[in-house]
Amino acid sequence: MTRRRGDPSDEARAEIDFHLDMRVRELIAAGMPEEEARRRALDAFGDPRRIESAVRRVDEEVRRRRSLRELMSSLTHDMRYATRFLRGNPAFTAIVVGTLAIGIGATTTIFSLVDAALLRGPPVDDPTALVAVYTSCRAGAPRCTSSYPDYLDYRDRSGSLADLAATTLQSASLGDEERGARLVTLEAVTGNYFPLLGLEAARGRVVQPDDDRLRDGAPVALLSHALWRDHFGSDPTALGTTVRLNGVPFEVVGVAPVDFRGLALDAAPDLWISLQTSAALGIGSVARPEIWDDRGSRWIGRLVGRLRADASVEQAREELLSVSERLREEEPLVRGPRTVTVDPLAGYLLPAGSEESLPQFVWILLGVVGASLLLACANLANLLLARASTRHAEMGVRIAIGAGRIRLLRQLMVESVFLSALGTLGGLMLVPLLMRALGAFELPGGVPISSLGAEVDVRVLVVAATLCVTTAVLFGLAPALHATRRDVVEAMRSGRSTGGRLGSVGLRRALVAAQVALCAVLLVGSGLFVRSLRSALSIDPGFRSEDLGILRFDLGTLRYTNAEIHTFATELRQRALADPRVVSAATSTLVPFQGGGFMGFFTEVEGYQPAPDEEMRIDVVPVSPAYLETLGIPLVAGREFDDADVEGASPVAVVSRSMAERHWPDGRAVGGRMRFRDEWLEVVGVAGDVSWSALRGEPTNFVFLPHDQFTELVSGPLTLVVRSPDRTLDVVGALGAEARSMERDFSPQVVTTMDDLVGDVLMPQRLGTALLSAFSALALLLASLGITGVVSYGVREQRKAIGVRLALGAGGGQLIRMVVAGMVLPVTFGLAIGLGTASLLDDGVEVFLYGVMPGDAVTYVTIASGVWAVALLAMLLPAREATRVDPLEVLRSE
Amino acid sequence: MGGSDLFTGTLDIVILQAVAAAPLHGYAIGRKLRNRSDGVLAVEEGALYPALHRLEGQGLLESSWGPTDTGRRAKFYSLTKAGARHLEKRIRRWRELSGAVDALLGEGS
Repeated sequence: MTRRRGDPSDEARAEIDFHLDMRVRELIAAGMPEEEARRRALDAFGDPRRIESAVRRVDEEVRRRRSLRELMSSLTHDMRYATRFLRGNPAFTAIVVGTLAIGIGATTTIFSLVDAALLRGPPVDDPTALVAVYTSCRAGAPRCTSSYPDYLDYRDRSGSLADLAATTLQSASLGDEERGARLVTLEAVTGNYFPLLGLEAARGRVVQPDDDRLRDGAPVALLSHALWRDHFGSDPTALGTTVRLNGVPFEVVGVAPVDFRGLALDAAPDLWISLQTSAALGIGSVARPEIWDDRGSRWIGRLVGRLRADASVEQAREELLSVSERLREEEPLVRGPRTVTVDPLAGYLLPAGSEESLPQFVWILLGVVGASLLLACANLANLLLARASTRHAEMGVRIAIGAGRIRLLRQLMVESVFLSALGTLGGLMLVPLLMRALGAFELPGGVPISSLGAEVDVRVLVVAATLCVTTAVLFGLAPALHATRRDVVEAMRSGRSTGGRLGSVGLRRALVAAQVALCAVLLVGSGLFVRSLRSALSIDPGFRSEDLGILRFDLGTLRYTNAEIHTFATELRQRALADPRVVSAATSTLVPFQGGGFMGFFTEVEGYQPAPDEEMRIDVVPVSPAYLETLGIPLVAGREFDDADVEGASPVAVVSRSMAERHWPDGRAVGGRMRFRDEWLEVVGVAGDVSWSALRGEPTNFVFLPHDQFTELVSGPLTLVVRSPDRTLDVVGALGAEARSMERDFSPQVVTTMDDLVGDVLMPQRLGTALLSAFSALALLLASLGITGVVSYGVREQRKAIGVRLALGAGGGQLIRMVVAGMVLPVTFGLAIGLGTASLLDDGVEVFLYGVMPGDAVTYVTIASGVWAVALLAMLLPAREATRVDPLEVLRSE
Repeated sequence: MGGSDLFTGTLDIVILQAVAAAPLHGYAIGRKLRNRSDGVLAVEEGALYPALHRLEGQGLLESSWGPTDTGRRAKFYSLTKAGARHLEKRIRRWRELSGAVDALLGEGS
């Protein structure tokens, strides 16, 4: 009806020319000379060129609107079509969207964790120029704490360090009139700490050099953003108010930036005060005036330095080593074999002992979820290809009725993008749920995941979503490209099936192989974790963890003297023993798996000649009577302390088995003598070795001392431990109430059971096991779906061949072999690659494994046969369809 | 501004009305307008063409090239269904409005 549109400008001009012509003719017909007629016509019409361009502008505008409208309407149509298809195939949609959501959500979550723990680091100026400086304590433990004179010498004698700051962590009771008391972790820092980091306060000011004057510092406190929010309700007027730390008034001068949580990953301080003023709190070594000059002490927890612009870490290391060498010459007795370690401090400081395992652990988690994302993509590709085969007819029909090729491609693209967009959306919704679920766990080194301040990483979300969308588009288009080929349409018309899809079958087999491989890697990982967890649970920690209740408290924060703490502890233990549910009870500064340090001292052992570089230090644990009995630590020889080992009686000690074997190789430790400070102690017993913090902890030289004889050692946090088989936690709770009746302000730091403490230590193993198991189960499911899909597709494709063979009298077994044959290779190949990869990777998990060597044959064989069994089942289910083919029908249809 | 809107709206109605009976080419539409309005709506004849194209773009008119009585090829415009509906609606509204204005003026005089 409409004429094919030519060049619009020609059309406009032709229209105008026609008009003018007609007018001129009319005027001539009325008797006007041609010249005048032409002029009159133009006068009446206006400038033809102007009119023409106005018309063209209108046409242009109309065309633009029309094409936009057309695009929108066809996209709407495509979307409606896609929605209808996806709703019509709920299983397909659910699997694709679900796996994509899990893959994207989990990857984003775990990467945010990696980012928060390892990549981001504290918000300080030029972190690459920061170093951590440590003093060694004994061979094999190069990173220990330092003394104040050590700090001063490192700081003042090194030229490559622009500055060096010292900090210690303490707990204290924070109180003010309005809000009551609470226990806080404070970091006491030298005045140069914040300037060195280049850190400004978010409000007010930081702790400054002037606040840290020798024994005369200004009692000021910088609040962490979290404490300001939680305890002060983000009240801006908190600045300038006075808070009491262990009863000592401090003026709040500032609030730290929200993203500054100190330099250590595991312990975020609640507030900062200056090192000099921390002496006034009256707790720990810093309360003793002579500690500032005591080179043998180790109370400076952390040294942080900034390199000069032209200095390297190596230079600083060499220089400090020579400083250490000179110190050893100057003060051989106390400085002894101590040496110094300098590490670059690019990210957060990781908890001691987990410098390797923590990063490895989070990278493994990332690897697991990354593999699951790849799996989700492989699965998506496989399902899209499978769908292609079933929609083949539909595509053919649509082409036959005249749908354009581009139109079809766009249709399929809309579907694929729509699917992956749904997956991404699902992933986004999963992230907060996963974050919350992970928040209940801890990383190696006891770092609670909830404390990391992990934020959703948009970059990863974008990368993961792009990966999925790309996969969806690539594999979603494949069927369209194929189906829009002309020969397919021909084939459709003639009713024959086409052989043109062999390429896509090959691709699908490759995808199945990849899925099986990924699945095998995950299974090996989870197998190792599961076995390791089981053997970890069966490791003997050297004591009996069941039925033990734990009550930990710190009376130092209430300004109790050591003698008062001891009296309180003794009384509390007596009251515990009076409870009929309590079998035995003890108090000590330390129980296993609690964290907290030993107290280290120099010693001499009578009759033992130390090796030249052997530091004769012992780790001392002051304990009450019945400590070994309560914890169930076996007594190897002699006796443990009883009520007779009190002040005034001859001083005694119980040593650990490994210490006894080392220093009294003749086995006669009981009756031996060792020096502690300026006293000689008699060894009265040998206790079994105990795992104090990790299940595989190295045995150390540890010595129990009766705290009735050494009351001055009973400072800081103390633990009451009771053995009570019946409702252990209730009993501990009742004892907490008992303690409150003795001291109104008593507030326990920890109320728990030993089983929970041991469980916390195994938290990373549990987390790893849970995640790996869940993801490998998912992987196995997806791989089987892939196998089933390919096999059932094969059955459909080969109906004719199957029919012929059936007609020729082939048995069911033969037919099944025929359709299954194609999958044997991909599964075998995938399994081989997966197990091979796993054996290369599993060195990485070794640090978390207890009693299972990586490369564990049992795990590998179990997994190989398990995967084969599942794969076989996945093949056989659809293969049975082959035996149901009706040969007559197939042959007749030809 | 309001005046030009009123003019555009009026021109639209007049154009639609002109082709309501039978398809016409631009020149014929122009002539019809000139004759019927007795020159009241005498405008630059050229202004007709952007208006025709706009109305076609809005789907109120459709066009096709065909021979005239004299055998020349010209572009003929005719009313679409949407155009017819639009015209009817506008005429009704116009009548209401002009009736109201007439009543007002009648009262005033």
